[in-house]
Amino acid sequence: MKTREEQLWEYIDGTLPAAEEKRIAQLIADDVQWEQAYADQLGFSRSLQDMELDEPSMGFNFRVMEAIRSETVLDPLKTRINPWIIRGIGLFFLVSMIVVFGVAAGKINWSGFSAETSSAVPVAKMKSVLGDRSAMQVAMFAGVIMLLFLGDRILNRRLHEKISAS
Amino acid sequence: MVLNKLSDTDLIRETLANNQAAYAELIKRHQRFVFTLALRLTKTREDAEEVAQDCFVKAYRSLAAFQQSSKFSTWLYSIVYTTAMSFLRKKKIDTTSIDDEETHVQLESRAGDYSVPTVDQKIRNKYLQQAIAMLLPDDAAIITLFYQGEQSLEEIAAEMNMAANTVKVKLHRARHRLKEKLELLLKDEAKELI
Repeated sequence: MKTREEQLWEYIDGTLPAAEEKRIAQLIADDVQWEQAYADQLGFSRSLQDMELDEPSMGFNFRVMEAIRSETVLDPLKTRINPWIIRGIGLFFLVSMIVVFGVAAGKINWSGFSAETSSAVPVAKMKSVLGDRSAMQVAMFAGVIMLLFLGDRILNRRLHEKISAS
Repeated sequence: MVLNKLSDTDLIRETLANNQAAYAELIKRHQRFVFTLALRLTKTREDAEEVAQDCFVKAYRSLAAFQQSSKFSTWLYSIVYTTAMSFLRKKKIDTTSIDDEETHVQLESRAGDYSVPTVDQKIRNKYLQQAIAMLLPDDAAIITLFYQGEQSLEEIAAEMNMAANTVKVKLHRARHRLKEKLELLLKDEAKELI
């Protein structure tokens, strides 16, 4: 069973269902004790609502912004570098390795492995393949594409910053 | 662009587009309440400033992850509450109730220091603030969020990670305890105030 005080708080807070709210309103109107208790609690509630907020010290805003700025400078990897750039670089190396080794594997004359050479890696053959110009050209082409992609992203970001600053 | 005329949502969008002035405006808008809430939880101005500053830095870091399904203030106040509670745990502040004999004596002697003939708004504020400062951090936070932060029970529940019904019960108890503290501070004058 709820006390009168609890019922009045719920009435003041507006958390009662409509029928219950009507009943309490009627009690306040009809009963002097309820009316008095309601006035007291309402006054208390208003005193709490009217309380002033505390003020931090003068330089608070500035200090927070300084903390944010210093953190942005000190912690660039977390806050400034787009993770997609890191992933892009990783992808570039992965693709390069696959391409280089794929081309290398394709150029090796596997039938040339004989019983007397099978125990050793055909170093000379590998060198000739890895040093092959077409494999290098493919890797360089992929590199140029990546650089163009990164350049485009940087220019886009700068453009966006300029627009938002204006 | 007039930043003080933008809504919180617009300021967040601007901040995410690397406009730090927009975030400074967000701080300006919320700093008084954030500081008040931190003060109610930590009890000293120095600690409250530290917690409030930490909250705004944390909020800035996580701004991109802020789901705008709730109000920015609700999200920010939940950061204040968790940051302040972690701070208190770290500082190992004794958050047990002050309802012991020794404190009663102390409070009574403190109350005696104030010879206030009339209870006007400023004095009322002062006593209310003193009484709130005597409450447990959770009680003080609920009172502050409900009355000064104008947060609904559901919003407070989200901020304090509790059920709305628990908040409702806690609010009743907090008000009751606050009245007790005021009576302790003001004795006869309490009737005028509460």
